[in-house]
Amino acid sequence: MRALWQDLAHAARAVLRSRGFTVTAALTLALGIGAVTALTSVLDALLFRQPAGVVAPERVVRAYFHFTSPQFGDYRNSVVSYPDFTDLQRARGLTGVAAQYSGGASLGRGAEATEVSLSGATGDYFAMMGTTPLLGRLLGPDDDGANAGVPAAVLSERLWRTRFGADSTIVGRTLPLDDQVFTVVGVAPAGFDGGEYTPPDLWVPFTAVARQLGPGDGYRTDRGWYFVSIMARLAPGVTPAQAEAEATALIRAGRSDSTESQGFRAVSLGPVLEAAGPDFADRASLARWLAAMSVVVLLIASANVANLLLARGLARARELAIRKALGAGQGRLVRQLFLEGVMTAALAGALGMLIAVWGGGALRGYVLPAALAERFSTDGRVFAIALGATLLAALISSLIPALQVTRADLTPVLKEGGRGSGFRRSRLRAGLVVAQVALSVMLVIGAGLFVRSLRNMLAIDIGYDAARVLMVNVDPAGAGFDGPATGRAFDAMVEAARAHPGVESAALTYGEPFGWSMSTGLRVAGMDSLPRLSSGGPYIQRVTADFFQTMGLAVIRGRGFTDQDRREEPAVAMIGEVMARRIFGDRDPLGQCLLVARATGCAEIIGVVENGVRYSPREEEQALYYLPLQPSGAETRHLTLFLRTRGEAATVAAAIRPLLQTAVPELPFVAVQTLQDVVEPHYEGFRVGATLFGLYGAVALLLAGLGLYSVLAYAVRGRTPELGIRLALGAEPRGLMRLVVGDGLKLTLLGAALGVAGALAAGRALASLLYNVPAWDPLTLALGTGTVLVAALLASSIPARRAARVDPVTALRSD
Amino acid sequence: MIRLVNVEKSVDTRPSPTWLLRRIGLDIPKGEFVTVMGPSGAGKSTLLAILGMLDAEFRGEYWLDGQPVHTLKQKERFALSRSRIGFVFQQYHLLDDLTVAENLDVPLGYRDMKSAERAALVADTLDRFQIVGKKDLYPRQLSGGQQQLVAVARAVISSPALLLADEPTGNLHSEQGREIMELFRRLNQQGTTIVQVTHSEENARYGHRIIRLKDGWLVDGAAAA
Ligand SMILES: Nc1ncnc2c1ncn2[C@@H]1O[C@H](COP(=O)(O)OP(=O)(O)O)[C@@H](O)[C@H]1O
Ligand SMILES: [Mg+2]
Repeated sequence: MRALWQDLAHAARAVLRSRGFTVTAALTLALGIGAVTALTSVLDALLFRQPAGVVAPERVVRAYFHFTSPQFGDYRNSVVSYPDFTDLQRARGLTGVAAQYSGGASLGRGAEATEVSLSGATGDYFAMMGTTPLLGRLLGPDDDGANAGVPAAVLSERLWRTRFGADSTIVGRTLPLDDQVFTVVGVAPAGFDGGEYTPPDLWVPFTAVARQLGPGDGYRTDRGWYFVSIMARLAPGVTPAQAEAEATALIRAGRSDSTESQGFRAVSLGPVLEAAGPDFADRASLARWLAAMSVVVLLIASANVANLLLARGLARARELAIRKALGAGQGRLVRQLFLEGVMTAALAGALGMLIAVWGGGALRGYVLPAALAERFSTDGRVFAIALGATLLAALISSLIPALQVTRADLTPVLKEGGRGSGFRRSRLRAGLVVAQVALSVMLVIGAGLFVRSLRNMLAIDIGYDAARVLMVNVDPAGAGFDGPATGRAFDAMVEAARAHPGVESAALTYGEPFGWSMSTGLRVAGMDSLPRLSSGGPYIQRVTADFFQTMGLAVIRGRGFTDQDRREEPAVAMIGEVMARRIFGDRDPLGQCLLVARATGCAEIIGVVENGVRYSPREEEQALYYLPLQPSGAETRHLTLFLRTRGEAATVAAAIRPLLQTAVPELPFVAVQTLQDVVEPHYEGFRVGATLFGLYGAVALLLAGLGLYSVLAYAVRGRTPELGIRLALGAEPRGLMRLVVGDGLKLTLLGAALGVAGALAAGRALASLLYNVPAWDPLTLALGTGTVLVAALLASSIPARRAARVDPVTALRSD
Repeated sequence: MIRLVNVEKSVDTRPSPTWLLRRIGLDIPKGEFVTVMGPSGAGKSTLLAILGMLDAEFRGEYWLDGQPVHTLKQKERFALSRSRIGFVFQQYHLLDDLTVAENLDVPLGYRDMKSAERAALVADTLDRFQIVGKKDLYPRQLSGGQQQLVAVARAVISSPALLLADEPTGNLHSEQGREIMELFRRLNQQGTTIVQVTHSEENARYGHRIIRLKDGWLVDGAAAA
């Protein structure tokens, strides 16, 4: 024990004595530890945490339904119909089965209105989760009855805190949501979200919201109406596989009617944590990649410090030899060196924590949805991750060199007075550099692949002038407006918006780009059948006359709609260029007659318009056509208002919401967003990948460069006599430079080759996260390798110049 | 072949500079075998480094084969030294990581030669110095005498006109030393000009003339006999 104290004291003194070295090493490790901690905390928030307020969450599952249809191929749905829920309630392998509907509502009306996200939960929901309330009570079976009176509402702790100032007397207060009034009965525990990726602000009884969704109770029997997600608790002793089999059998029986089967294949049960389930596989996979990448950065940093320590250990060989000669055992020496490493790593760990606390928040904000990011602070788990990273760093960076240095035979060092021939080409050090280079090549190539994907995504012409368009969503019907009132409300909003100086034009649509669209029976007079596109459709959207001009879609042929075209029974239609080409081919579409749904009259094609994106920039070709929107004031629900702004849409956005919200008295919350913000999530994964891979790649490159530099600089110092001899034998200083750079290049090329091989191997797994760029993209591989080579050349140039300045007379002097 | 006129060398020290060589004037005709002697610290190695163009920081004139070394640019100096000069050191200075054959090849690598030519020349030299059997050994596997033999072979492999040897036998037994000296005599008879530094009167007798240095001054033997 005393010996340990002694070693600790020695180590502390050694660490303090070489302050420059310690700071360098600690900063290097801190970068790595910070990188790991910041990113794994994201992964933790996303995937590895257990949902708060859920008892034995590992037994709670979320149902996914698998279908195969000739139209859409194999697909998966986590949102299914209400009868599916009642079928699953009969499963004996499940003790509690709950359904949940996610939606939004306007809290309050008019200028004061705000938007909240709500969850309509069936009576079993909280009991199945095993949740205990923070305040008051939670929803139970009684709340969900058909005649429950004033419906109850449970607030999330977040909403309670941010909107109601954590008022402890909140229970009993009334809450106006859309056209209903609710009573607050309780507050859910902090962090409770039922595992939803986008946490709801409050929970209300399922029947209370379901009633609004359609006329009456039709949802209870309609198999074609998908709007609930189903969660359940596995009965004791039941395995997920058994429960899946039973659930599949029940649903198959329930959907035995062929019109209701919809190609149902099976039910699978995923974790209650939605982010850990199949719907978020891409995001989770990206997060995992990023976390793995941060571990790589930590490894590179550790290798770097290991390298520095090795070099220093060799330089300290004399001190160690003396200690050994004085009777220090192998173990003692290793321990002392290890302790020095641990102290450096501890310092680095503290610094790394700072980086993680500071950078982790920024990263989570960048990678996660706001509500999710906000809930995760730098807590004990993050500290645990940092501690783990620190230990790993300490182990790699100091134990290897400690063993290496002390294993070496130190006697010759003493004899020769530690001068000159203390230098040994260390294969371990070279190996570390090769590994560093290989890993950074992989990261840089990864960054390149994401950058290329992002560029490919951004290069896609979505058709719309996203930066000049605002999208306005409001649900007057939900707030109790009847059909004609809803139509009038939208007309009034169009009027109000047009009057605003920042607005150039306004249009209403039924069907929403990036949101939703419909397909209905369509015939063309004179054609027996229409060619089918693999993307389905043709998809229809009903729009007002200014739609194309507002969105920035060019009319290629013919004319656009006018206000006079708005009729109950439309007489004209416009088609997208894809539909024109794929359905009419060489024939002139203008003047052709479309028979839409059960219409008896023709909608004559009067124009062909540039294609806009239907739901994603990555989509296949879509056949789109347009009919004029029904006349003003007609029975209307669910319209979307688009505004074309003068100048950047973002600058006008803030003024529009209050304007519209007061244009019609009692209007519920009006959501205004730029079309750019609507498109952005489609680029997000690539942007995150490109930014983070780029950032971490740059750090890795810097560290690998430092590693190479330190090895070469040390080699030049050790090889000074040799360089002198070479000069005497006719070498020119340039030749010596080439020698050093050549050594550096050899290591770099070997590392780069391994890195490219690694990138190719890893790339296959990465492929699903990329867009239109193969993981073996030659340009990216070449650029990635090239970047690392340039960095290596830079790193070699300083020691190379030092080699060129070797004075042969000094180098060869014998005394 | 060599003419030194008023060559001086000093290094900056405080308070006043240290003189390593003072006003050296020296003529060495082609084919001569000259021995430089003098007490330790007299400036012998310094002189050899200047002659071998390892050190270009001196004042005065140094003419080699009619070329003014003191005014040559670095590049020309390297070229001249490559074409004329071979070096032998007291510590042999073989490269530890290279075999005997590879050591011999090092100077050739710095001269414009095809690799086939180089291989032939290395083989020739191994043969000529009777070290063929040692060609794949590393320096540490050789005795001191054998190492110095390899070092001499390496110094002359590119047929330099001038061989500079700084205490080549200083680390050797007298028997091994004598062999090196015999080798020098033969090289000299074949036309190589030699300047050697030695403390041994016996070795000095292999040469034609003795130059004596003391405290940087040339005290004896400035002109050819
Ligand atoms: N760069 C230098 N700085 C200071 N003193 C030097 C330097 N180079 C050589 N000397 C000194 O100059 C003197 C001559 O050196 P050297 O030519 O090596 O002598 P030697 O005759 O023993 O070969 C010695 O005293 C040596 O210590
Ligand atoms: Mg000397």
